[in-house]
Amino acid sequence: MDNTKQNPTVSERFVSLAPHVRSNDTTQKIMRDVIIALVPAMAGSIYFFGMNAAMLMAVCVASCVLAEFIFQKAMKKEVRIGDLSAVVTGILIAFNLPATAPWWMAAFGSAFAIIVIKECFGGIGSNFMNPAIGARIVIMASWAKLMTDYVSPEMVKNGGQLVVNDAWAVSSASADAVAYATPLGMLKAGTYEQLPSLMDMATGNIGGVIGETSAILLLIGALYLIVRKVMSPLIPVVYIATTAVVLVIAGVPVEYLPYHILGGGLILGAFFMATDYASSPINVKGKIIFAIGCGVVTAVIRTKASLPEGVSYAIALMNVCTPLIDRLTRTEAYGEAK
Amino acid sequence: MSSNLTFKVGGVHMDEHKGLSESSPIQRLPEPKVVYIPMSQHIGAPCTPTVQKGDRVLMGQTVGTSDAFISSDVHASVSGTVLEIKKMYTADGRFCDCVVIENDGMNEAQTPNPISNYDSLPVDDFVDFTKKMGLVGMGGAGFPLHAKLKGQVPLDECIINGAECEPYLTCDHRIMLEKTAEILEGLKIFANFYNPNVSYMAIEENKPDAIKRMNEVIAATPRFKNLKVVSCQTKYPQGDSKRLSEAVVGRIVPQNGVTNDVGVFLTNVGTTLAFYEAVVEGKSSYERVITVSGAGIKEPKNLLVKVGTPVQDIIDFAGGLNDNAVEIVCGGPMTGKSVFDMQSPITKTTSGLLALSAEEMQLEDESPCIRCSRCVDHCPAHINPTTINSAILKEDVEYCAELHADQCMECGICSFVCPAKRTLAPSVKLAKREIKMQAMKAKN
Ligand code: SF4
Ligand code: SF4
Repeated sequence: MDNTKQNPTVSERFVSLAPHVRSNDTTQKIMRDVIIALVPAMAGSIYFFGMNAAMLMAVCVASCVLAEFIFQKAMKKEVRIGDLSAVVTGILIAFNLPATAPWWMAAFGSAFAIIVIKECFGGIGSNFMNPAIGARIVIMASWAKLMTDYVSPEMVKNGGQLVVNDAWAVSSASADAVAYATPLGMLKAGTYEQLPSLMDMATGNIGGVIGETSAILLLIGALYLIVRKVMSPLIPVVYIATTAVVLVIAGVPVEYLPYHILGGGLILGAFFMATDYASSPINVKGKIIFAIGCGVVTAVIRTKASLPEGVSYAIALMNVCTPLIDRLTRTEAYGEAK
Repeated sequence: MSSNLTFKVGGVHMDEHKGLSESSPIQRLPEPKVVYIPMSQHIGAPCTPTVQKGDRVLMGQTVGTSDAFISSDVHASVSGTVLEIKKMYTADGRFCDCVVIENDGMNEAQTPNPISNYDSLPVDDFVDFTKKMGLVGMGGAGFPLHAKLKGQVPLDECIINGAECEPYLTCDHRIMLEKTAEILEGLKIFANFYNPNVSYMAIEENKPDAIKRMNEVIAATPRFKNLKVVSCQTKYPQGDSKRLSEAVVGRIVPQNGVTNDVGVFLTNVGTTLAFYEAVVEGKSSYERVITVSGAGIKEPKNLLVKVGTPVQDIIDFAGGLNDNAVEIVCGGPMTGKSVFDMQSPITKTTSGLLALSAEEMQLEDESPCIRCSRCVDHCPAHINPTTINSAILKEDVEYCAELHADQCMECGICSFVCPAKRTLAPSVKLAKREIKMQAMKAKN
């Protein structure tokens, strides 16, 4: 305890500076709540994508925790894996992988996120970018094909083989049989008639990466975090609203908006990645600017860029802007200045 | 009745822990054998003793005074003999001269000098009287009352602060229940000075019985019809004078200002009761009600205690300490000071003595800031404690000033809410002090 001192000449009583009581919140409890919030979506992904999803989550969590442990040991820093933040990062990285992703890619992404993005910048709270987003972008840049090789839950259920190593060869040979176009891909291509039902989109009965599929299960978790006051709905709500508005301005027909909102990781990104404490602005004004920025960039990428989706790039870009936003939105003290 | 009033920026709802002592009626502490009367019991210049070793003093007699305007007289709380005058620590950690009086147990009081026609006198006639009677803000800060009576700006709103927003403390709650008419009479006198149309008694909603009782007495007393009870949201720091001024009359005090600057006279219920006793009964301020509480105390209580009583006597009367008591705090848990010497005496501003257990304190080591923004969201001063914390750790005082660290009201909320258990409040306080020192250096 840095703020305590014993003054043996006067008495042996414990002495500390005010305040003398603390709330019972701890970093570990917050992270535990986030993990609890992710459980429904984890269960859903195993239901939809089978054991491969479970395996990937296990690999990501294990590699994150291990990477953090080894790095902190090697650097002779205090080992902080007990705060559970690496577990959260691991789950989020897995959520950003397609169920067909090979385990080594998952392990690489996890180690990269923890060591390069988190620990090299000073560890918990100091990362300039959400580590899971960083991992996704790096994997995407390195193995784009493996990352977009989506299978739909149907294919998993029908015993459609999960092509892991030979994805490229197989999918190019019989594209329709294995590769699964995401709803956003269909929107982009204008093949509206192939869109799944909105019900399937909401429950997660669609193709995509492990964690972004079930909007409902993710929202249940988000609601839990909001009720527990771990998360404020400010960033996600402003983010999603901005995305919707800009999409409409950019010419997306209003009836397809729900597909945009439910698909392509917007819910996962808005609620669980953009809200990352360390890489989002610290006060309310800054959070609003940040969320609007995320929304605009997401919508612009989705409508104007060649990529079908833009959530991770939007968040990454705004993460980089966070220090600037913080500086521009510095808090002004209470009371009218004299 | 207006209800649910509050201030807008920051604040926090916390466990109140008031149940430990709130239903225990005020008891008088048995006579202490020796009292140590501190010469510094308020903000401003300390007093100089007016008695010497061997003198016999009467209860209520002046034993210390000062010519400085921001200062208030100090009185004997017992009758007896002056044993010595020595420097010692008060319970709230000031180091000053104390007049040590051996109590003869007779409680021989000096002749009271009340003001009989107080209803018709202007406020100017009370200033000197109030200083001589030793009246200071009893809510914690201890600002001499007479210095508040007249403002630069004409004062046209009058609020009595019965919020009592710190956890554990129930002394104000008890006096509002047990001394209702006296407090309202005190408010009535203030209302004569400032706002004869409507003057306010502000109470937090967690004390519905006190609100009810106040309303009953007002309804039953035609003389009080210009007094109004307002209930405020239960939220710390509702009882801070600036926040209460905002909550009740919507006036926001400018930075570095006091409520007097926006025409608001605001003082604590305990002070109001003491003011009543001085004006109507002619009694100087030498005793007060305090709360003894916390999981570390055997029998939590509200006690009427003479100023200068050692902490040990008070704790003993409350059944002593439990084994789990880790720290003794003088005042509330959010802003109080650690007591390190059990012989140190309480002062007029001591609102409570708390013996806290480790479990209540949630003692934990500091870990890195996770930028959760709780400290920023809850800071009533609307500043950024975590950035100030990292700036002062790098000794960057200039940046601290840019971040308005000097506007910290020292409420302790940032430390309280931080999940990483960072010692934010003390570091912002340090930044505040460094900024002041730099400003002073720049002047010279
Ligand atoms: S102690 Fe100061 S910095 Fe901390 S919350 Fe209170 S006013 Fe803000
Ligand atoms: S409350 Fe603590 S952990 Fe959260 S931002 Fe403030 S200093 Fe950091």
